[in-house]
Formats: sequence, structure tokens, C-alpha cells
Amino acid sequence: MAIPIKVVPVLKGKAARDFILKADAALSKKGTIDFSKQVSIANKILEKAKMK
Amino acid sequence: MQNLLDAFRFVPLTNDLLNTYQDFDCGHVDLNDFFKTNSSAFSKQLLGKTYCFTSEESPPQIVCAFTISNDSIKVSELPNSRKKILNRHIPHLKHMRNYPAVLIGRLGVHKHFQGQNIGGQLLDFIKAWFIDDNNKTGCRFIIVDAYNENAVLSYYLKNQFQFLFSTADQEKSFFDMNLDKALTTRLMFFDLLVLTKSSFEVG
Repeated sequence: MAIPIKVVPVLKGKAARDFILKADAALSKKGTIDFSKQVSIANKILEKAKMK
Repeated sequence: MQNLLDAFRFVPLTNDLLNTYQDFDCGHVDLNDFFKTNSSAFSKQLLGKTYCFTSEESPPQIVCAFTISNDSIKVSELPNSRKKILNRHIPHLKHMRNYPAVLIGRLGVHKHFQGQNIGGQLLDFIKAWFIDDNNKTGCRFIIVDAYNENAVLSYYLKNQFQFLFSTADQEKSFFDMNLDKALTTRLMFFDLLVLTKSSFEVG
């Protein structure tokens, strides 16, 4: 029997605050990692699979 | 090093494929069992879709597989100061309390293909797939419920995933677990917002 997939609980208290801080930090870093090469590869994989 | 684009084929994992290809063995009985016996039912019940990369060389094999579902990260109890800041960024607070996400429910790489960065390429593929312009829905985060094992956690950390809960004890408390009991898995997330591609505008 496979281990059940955990349900993500609603974040509260410190866990909520920590998560919001991380999410906000990412707002100031949005688009800073160039993923164009990986996106190009993914598109080619999907085209090859006829899923594009 | 083999790469996913040139060496393999990307397809949904079906019963036909499972019956035709060699048994998938990623070294985890739980994962092997899920892909072999549960993934099809998951798909039929619209609970999660399973995809895989296959090698067509003889004997044909499933190289790696993963199951994904729609999910979200919900946050409650925001203080008033927080609400004001959030409203400045996005005017609909409701959206900020429920971050859309995709959950990687299962992910495994066949033992024969481990140690060749197939897993790293696979995570890059999933990340790229979900920042694609053709996505029908918004998706801010990738969530994974990773086995609480050093090698697995290191793999996700190396691929810039972060723990959803800062400590294992904090995670246990959210699941009403006895602190003496070991966690089988750890929830982790990756923020897609930091990624960019030439036609990808997030602002």
C-alpha cells in the first residue's frame, strides 16, 4: 500500500509568517533566474511528444 | 550524460505502457507500487496525472515518472500590517491567501538511470512546463512531499526547493503527530516567480 500523499495544511502562526516572508522575498527577486534554456528544452520535449 | 530531450520520449504513463515496458524500479517499494498499481486509478479519478520519460532502446524502459495534481498553499491569520503590504502588490487579498500550486505527489527515477542528473533535468522540465504561456491556470509554487531521507531532501534542496515548515517538529505539530514519532515525508516548495524566460512576464 502506497504512503498517502500528505494534504498541505493551512499555514498559521509562525509557519504562516515565515512562508509569507519567503513569498515576499521572491517578489523582489521575480524573474531573476534565467530559465530560457530550460523552457526551450521543455517546449521541444512537448513538441516531440505532440503535447504542445 | 543522457538528456531528456534527445535520449527519451515523454508520454503519459498508461496501463498499456506499464504492461509493455520492463518493471519500473526506482529503489523505493512505495513509489514502485504507486506507479504500477495506483497511478492509473488516480488518473481516472482525476486526482493526479502521471507522466514518464521512456527509453526505446531494447529493452524499452521507463526512465523516470512523476504524478502531479492541482494544489495550493493556504495562509491564514495575516496581521493588518501584512494585509496592507499585500494589497499594495496585488489588490485582491483573497488571491494572496491561497497561492495556486502544483503538487508533485510522486517522483522517481529508475535505478539504472540514477546518478546521471536525470532527476535534476526532470525538475527543470516540470518548472519550465508550469511557467509556460500555454498554462491554462495560474501556478505560483511547486510543492513536493519528499521522503524524509538525506539523499532525497538534498536532491530537492539542490534544486532550490525550500522546506514549507522550518523544522520537523513544526511540521509534526501541524499534523498532530507525537514529537517522538519520525516524519516519513517533508513538505517542500519551489517558487516559480523567480524564473524568467524571454516571453514570460510576471510583473
